[in-house]
Amino acid sequence: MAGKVAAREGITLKGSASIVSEFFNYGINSILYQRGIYPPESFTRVQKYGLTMLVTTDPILNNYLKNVVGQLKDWLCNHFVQRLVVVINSIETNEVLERWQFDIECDKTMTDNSQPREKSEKAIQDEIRSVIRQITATVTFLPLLDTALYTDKDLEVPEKWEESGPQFINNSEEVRLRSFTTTIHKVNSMVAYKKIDSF
Amino acid sequence: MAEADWELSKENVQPLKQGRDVNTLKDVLAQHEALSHISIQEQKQAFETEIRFYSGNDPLDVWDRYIKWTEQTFPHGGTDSNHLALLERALKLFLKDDRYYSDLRYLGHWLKFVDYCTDPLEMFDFLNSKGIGVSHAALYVAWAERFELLGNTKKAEAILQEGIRLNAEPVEKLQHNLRHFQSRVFKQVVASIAEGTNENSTLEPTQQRTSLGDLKRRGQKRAMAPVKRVGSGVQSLNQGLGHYVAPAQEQCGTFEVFNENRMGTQLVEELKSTEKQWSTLPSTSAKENEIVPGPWNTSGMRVPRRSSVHAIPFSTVLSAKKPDFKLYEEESSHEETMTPRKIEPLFTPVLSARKPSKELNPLTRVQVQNCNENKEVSMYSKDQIYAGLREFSFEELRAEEFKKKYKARMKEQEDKLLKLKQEKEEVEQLIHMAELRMKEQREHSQPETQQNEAIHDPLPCSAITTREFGTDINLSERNGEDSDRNGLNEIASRLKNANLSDCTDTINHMSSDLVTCSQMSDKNPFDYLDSGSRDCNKEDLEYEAQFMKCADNSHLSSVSSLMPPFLGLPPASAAFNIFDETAEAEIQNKPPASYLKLNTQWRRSGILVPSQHVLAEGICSAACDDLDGIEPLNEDHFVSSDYPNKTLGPYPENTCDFSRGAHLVSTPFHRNTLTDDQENSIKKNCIDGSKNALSSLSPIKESLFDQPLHAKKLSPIQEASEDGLSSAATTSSSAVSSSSVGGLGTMSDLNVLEKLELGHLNSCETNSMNSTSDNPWDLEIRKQLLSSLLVPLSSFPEFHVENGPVPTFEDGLELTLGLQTFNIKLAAVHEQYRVFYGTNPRLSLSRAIIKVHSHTVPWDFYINQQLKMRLGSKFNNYFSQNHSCYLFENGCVTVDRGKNCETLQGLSQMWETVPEALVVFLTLDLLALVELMHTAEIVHGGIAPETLVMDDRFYEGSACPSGDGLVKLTDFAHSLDLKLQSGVVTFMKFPTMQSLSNKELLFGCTNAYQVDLLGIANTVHFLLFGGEIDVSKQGSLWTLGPTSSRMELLYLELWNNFFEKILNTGGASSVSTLSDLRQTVTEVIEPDYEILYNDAFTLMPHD
Repeated sequence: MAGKVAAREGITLKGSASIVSEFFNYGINSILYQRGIYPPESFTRVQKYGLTMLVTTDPILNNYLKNVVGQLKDWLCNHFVQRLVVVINSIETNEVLERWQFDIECDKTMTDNSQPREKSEKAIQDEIRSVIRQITATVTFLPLLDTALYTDKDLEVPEKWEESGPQFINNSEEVRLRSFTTTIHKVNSMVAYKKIDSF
Repeated sequence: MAEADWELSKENVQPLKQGRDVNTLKDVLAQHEALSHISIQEQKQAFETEIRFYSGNDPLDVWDRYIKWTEQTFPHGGTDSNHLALLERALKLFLKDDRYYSDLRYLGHWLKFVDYCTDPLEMFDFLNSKGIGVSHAALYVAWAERFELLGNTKKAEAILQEGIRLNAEPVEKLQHNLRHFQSRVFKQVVASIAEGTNENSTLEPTQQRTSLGDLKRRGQKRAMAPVKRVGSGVQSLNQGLGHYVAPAQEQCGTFEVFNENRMGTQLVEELKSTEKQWSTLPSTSAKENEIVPGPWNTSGMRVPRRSSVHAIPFSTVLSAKKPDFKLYEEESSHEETMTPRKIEPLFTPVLSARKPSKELNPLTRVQVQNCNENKEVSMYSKDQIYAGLREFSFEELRAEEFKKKYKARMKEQEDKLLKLKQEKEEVEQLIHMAELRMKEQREHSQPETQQNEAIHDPLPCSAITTREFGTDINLSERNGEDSDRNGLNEIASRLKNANLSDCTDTINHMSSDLVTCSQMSDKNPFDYLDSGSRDCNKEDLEYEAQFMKCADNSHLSSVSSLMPPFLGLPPASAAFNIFDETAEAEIQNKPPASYLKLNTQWRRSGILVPSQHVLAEGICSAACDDLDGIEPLNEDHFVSSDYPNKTLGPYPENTCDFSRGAHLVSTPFHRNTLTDDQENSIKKNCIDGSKNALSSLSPIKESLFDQPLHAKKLSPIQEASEDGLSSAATTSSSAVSSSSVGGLGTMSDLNVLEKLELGHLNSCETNSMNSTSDNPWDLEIRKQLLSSLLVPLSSFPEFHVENGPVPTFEDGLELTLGLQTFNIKLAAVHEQYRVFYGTNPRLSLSRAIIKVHSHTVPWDFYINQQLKMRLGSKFNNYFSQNHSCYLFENGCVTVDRGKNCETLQGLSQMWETVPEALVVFLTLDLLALVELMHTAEIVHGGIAPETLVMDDRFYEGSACPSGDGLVKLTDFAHSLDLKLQSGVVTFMKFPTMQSLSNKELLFGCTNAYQVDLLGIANTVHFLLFGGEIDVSKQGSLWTLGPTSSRMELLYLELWNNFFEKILNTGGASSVSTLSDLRQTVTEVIEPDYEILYNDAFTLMPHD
């Protein structure tokens, strides 16, 4: 009994990777919904992290996200990923309007075989929840996006997830969001948005 | 956890199209603390102020920033943000200004405003008809979105099409929008078809009951309501206020078959039909007949109490409040429809309807009754009170105005500090000179000096004086104090030596020094630097102080709080000698007590006048001011008014006074004027005083300083403070003060002398004050400038003061000036002076130019002396060293002695055309001369052939022309000393300018020096071509006109070059331009200098 409990409370590298990638799945979904990039009717409600999350039902998008997240999970296990960026481009001008950046700090000493770290799943979920909440709350300051927007064109190439350019925004404002850590992976979130001066 | 705020209040933050600044958002959301609230209020106030005092050419900018700031700072929206009111205010304001109609910012605000409206479509109609933003795609996109929201996709598309047709910017956006819009509509249609909701389930419109619709009667004898109340049962749908629910097809999924051809024309026509229909803004809310809060008694009618039924005629009510919208009138409505009614009974029963007179306005009786409202002129800037969103009180407006001026002054002070540094150097020079002179004089008159010093013991005095100078000139240069001390000591004793003849006079002088010093030394340096702004401060402060007194009885009793520090300014105490006992006690070098006593007494010299019937007088002038559009309550009124202020409520216990004060507080301020005789008596006293004081001094001083004293107003603080004091203390003080009016006596002598001293010390202040004036040649200004000189003109040996009036100058008379006798011959008559040629009958050769001025300002002499001082040895080359001045009681005469007095103009008449070689040399000379003048920071202003006089050397022909000048400049009547008058901005009045035919040349002028360059150009042109200069603009360059041509010019290229350079100086400094030009000319003539020289000077026509 006692051993079981200990195993549940501890976190292995693999477990951490899956937690983080899961977060990305919901996080990206959240962004897509909150920012109105996909039509709201194409989302469905799912209970997660003690919150009601909206997840897309769009098959193409789902497929793409599954691919991305799966790949991400592998990379997380191998400490490859340092940063995940979701870029929102204007389809008219191909201008970067918003840039969601998730920096990932990996504990490189952690391997598949090493001892699991002590951190309760609940604590991690609490942290994740606050990040998701913050993503939702960014509507307070983010500019309204026209409907003619799509996520990064990378979406169209789900198999090959290539590193795109840094996609920085000119004249932008950056807001740092909360971070969470699984003790193995630490995710720092940040959003940058373009300042619009016109009326 | 810093993010917690925005995170937690996402429901309370309105999303903005342009996003929000996170830092502002955080600040604002954390604003429960009172601190940030205050800062927001301050910013708001700043915007409000800026709106009122904006002077740029883009007034929308302020509003734009204000609105955006409001959006960012009030994320909740809500009433405290006033966003809607702000938008409405701004939009209405700029509705008058059609230059903003195509401004994107303006349109953006309109679109925000539309969101607040209950009927946005109406608002879009309005915008379209007014032509606001019709060239921007944003308008059409927003408009189409509105239609789409309402489900009217047809119109939405038409709007987008219309935008594309009109080529609204950017068209791509419209096209893009149109594409997406069409795809959305298509999807909707497909979806609705798929769901099969496409059933025609609507009732016919006629099948609905109509509210308030008339029904057809049934039955022949008695009218009965029909059973069937729809369709044919309804009498008519078109009559009455029939309101039936429109059978909106968009409500149920029907859609009409799209007909492109029809739509294209019909909707455009619809759009057009709305044009010119709107005269006012459509209402934003569904409410009608809203009463806009405004001032009371707009009807201006006093309601007679006993008038029977109609106290206010209906027509006046109508005219007073016309509705914003046009009333639709049917044509038939003009016909009187007589409805059968009961004839009113002869007597009104007790329970009858209320009388309309009472209904009209229950507050009428309470309202201020003022019949001649139209004649009333508000003495504050009434238009600005409601200019922004918030109401400003007129005091606030005044304060802003004042602050603005204050800031400007502060800036000036900084400039002045720099000047003072220079001044200090000059003073040091003078001190050296004085020292030298002292040594000489001491050898001559040692016993007398000793005696003098024995009397006065000048040590404390000089010490204090030094201190004062130390602060005066530069605080940071304290180490220079010692030399100052020595130097001033010397100066003080020099002054004594100058007036050795009258010992008592000197005593007076010295004592006044002491008094001045005692007061100067105890004020802080900031005060002193601030003294430039004092002139406008003091009236202000005093006025405020009086307000305080009137409003607050307790203040009256407390004597010491007479000058409360308003606006955080330092109490402007210094120059007008407010007696401060405590400060006095702290002074180390305390002057003898007797002097202090004098000091306190003279301050009663002001007159206290009961303010009975004076209010009415100022109105007339105030009205004029107001009509001229001048802000009536600015400080200039106070500065320019000669009237001394008076205490408004001299007796604190007197209820009459108090109520009068209260009246003044609560009503627009009228400048109080004194009656003529009162004013005169003051002036007379002042003059008497000065005359008494000065009579024993040399008469020059009197005539010099007399005038400035007249011009100088009595410093009102003196009377105000002292009278306030005394009146508060004793009720008999008015008697005292009135008696002191007559007997100013010797006390005022001191006062006057003191002022003279101050005049010297504060010379810089007065200068900077004056330089801002419009007319730099104004006699008063010159008088003040001269009176504030460090070295009075009378100290020069060439300056002669004559008793009696100016002798008659007439053609052919023999005249004696000083030691010389002239035969005079009239040469020219100008507005302010006449010019004579004088020949000395005894010495046949010596001739002179005599200028007779009708005023007593020896400006010519001053400029000449300044040139002499600033140029040193170079002076003699180009200017008349035999310049002397005779000052009479009613005029002054300047004499330029020389061997001949031929002007350049006269000279040129000897030839048909002046030889080019000569012109070359004259030009060289002229350039050098003006360059010299400009290095001395003096502008001649009237360089012309008439003012240039040939030098003696020219006729002798022996002097080398390169070293000495051939020409000399005379007539400095229009000269400016830019050291004193740096702020000259109008060049139009320079004589050079007025002689120019093409005034456009003037617009290129950036400083006064350029005026002289044009003068040179004009003169050279005259010599070369024999006529006025005629310029025209080719491209960006000024060139000579076609008339300026002479066939046989050797140096055509040189001259072209010359004129091009001198006419197009741009922003280059005049000195460098002149030396450049001189260089060019010299280089060109260098090869054949000898030949030219011979050509020029052997062809002398006079022999």
